[in-house]
Amino acid sequence: MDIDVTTTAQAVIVAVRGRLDTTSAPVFEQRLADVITQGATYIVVQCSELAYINSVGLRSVLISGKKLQAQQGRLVFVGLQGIVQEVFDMAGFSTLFQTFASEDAALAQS
Amino acid sequence: MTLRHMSIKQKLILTTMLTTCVALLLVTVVFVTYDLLTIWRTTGDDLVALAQIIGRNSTAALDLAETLDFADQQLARETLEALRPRQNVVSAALYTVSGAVLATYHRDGMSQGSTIPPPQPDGYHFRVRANSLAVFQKILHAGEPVGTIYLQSDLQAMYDRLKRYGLLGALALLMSMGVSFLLAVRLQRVISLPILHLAQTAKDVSEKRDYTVRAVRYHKDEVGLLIDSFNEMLTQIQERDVALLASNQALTEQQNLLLQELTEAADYVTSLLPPQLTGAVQATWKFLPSARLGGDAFGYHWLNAEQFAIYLLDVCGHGVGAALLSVAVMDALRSHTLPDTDFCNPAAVLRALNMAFPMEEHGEMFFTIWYGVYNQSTQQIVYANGGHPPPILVTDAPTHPEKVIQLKAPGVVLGAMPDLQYVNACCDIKVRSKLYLFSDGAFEVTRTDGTFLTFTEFVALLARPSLSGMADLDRLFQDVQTLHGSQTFDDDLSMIQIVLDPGLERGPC
Repeated sequence: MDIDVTTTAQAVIVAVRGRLDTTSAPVFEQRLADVITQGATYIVVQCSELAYINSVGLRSVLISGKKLQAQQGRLVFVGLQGIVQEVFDMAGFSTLFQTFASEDAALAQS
Repeated sequence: MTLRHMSIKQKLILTTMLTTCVALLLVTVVFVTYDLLTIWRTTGDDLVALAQIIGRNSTAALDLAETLDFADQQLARETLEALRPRQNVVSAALYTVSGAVLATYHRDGMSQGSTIPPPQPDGYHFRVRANSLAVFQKILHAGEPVGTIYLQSDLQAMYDRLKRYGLLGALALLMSMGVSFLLAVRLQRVISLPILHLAQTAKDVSEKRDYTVRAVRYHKDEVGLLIDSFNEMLTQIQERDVALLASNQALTEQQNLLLQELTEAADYVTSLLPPQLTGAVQATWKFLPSARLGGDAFGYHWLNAEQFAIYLLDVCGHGVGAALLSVAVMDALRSHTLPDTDFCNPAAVLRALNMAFPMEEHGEMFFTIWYGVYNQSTQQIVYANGGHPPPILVTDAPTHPEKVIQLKAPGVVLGAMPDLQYVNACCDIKVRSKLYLFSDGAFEVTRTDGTFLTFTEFVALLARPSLSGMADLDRLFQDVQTLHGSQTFDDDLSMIQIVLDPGLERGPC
């Protein structure tokens, strides 16, 4: 898994590539925790190149979302597709988190 | 082969020989140069002395030479003829005080092409011409100049000596090369032997991974110090090796103990799973815990004479923590310990579970669950879903319009948020049908080509009729294993098949 963090005026964009699974989820969670500690309140997770996510990955997403919510922030997702979209919908995460088709749409809601 | 790729032995021999040869050549050049300069000066001095002797003998002829008559010239020639025994004198001349040539002398065979230069006014000096040495000397009589003598000598003696030096030098060079080679071959061993021995020892250690061997120190020099350091390094590696081996053994024992405990935990989870059923509701299952123990658990039981509860849950993550939570949830469902909960109402059961197991109080773990209640009288199944893959209902009747139905219902994973709402959905079971429940481990598998099996592909696989006579779950399990290319999975793999046959009486509960 690769993670790129980009800070813009409206949001912090976290691009995740590869697999978000048992091995990589702690890394993802820590990166998001760092971004939240630095004061981010609107984080856009770019998932267009995320190939796979399992329940451990969902857990890291949920924990990060809750941390951000505790700071009156929001965690939103962009570019969900394929198996990742399927898992997100199945677990009901699409109702817990806002999802957008594009980064522009997500940034417009910041 | 370049110098840098030669062996130590070759380098030492070559270096010694080159040094010897260069030193010898330098010494030879210095000596030859010195000797040639000496010969040059000696020849010049000899010529000057000779010129003075001839000059003194010619004063009689020169005193009368102003008239330049034949007798004077004859006397002068005879005087010069005295030079004939001197083979190195090529030519000679006597000049009168006015500069006129009184007599000349040419060595036999050298008269042609040998010219006599005009006399030099400054008297005594050397002049080098091509391959010769020339001398002009004023001739004095009673303190007054009466003429000049000119002598020209070849350098053959010097060239002969140079040739002899060349031959002797080449011979000395060959001999010294031979001797230095023999000495170098013998003496280089003092340096090369310990280095070669060290190199061989290092190679043996590397190839055999035997850190008990040691290199032998031959001398107390820098190479000896290197060998001591090498041996010390081997000792340290050996000690670390032993410590690492002991640590590995301890870790292996600890790992075996942990694996044994994980196996016992998996056995315990398996022992809590329900027995297989026959009759109006037939139930079979397959459960393959992952090596790290997952959080799958499932069960089914009659709630009353008409209603049959079915559930499958999956705690996120792996390990004992996930297994403990799954056992706790299953226990609450089996023993009906959720407060004020109607276990015939799936949505109410999920709401109660969500309140009872918030992730903040259970190791930040949530779980998915599908809970359904089949009513044999109404021939209907009511169900609710908390983020779990929807079970698949496959009807047996060929005339039934819908053969494969996904029992979907909206719902979020349990424990994620408080006060989540779940809804009941229902499905009529009018004909004999097979209900398949499974955990995500059954379809979230990697195929041999590295791609992932999708849920849709898994459903198609599940609905495929079994042609070999193999039990449905065995066939499905085998298909997934074949696609995965392995018999082990990263996650727990649970599959339940419930055969619902409305035409049959209820079985024993």
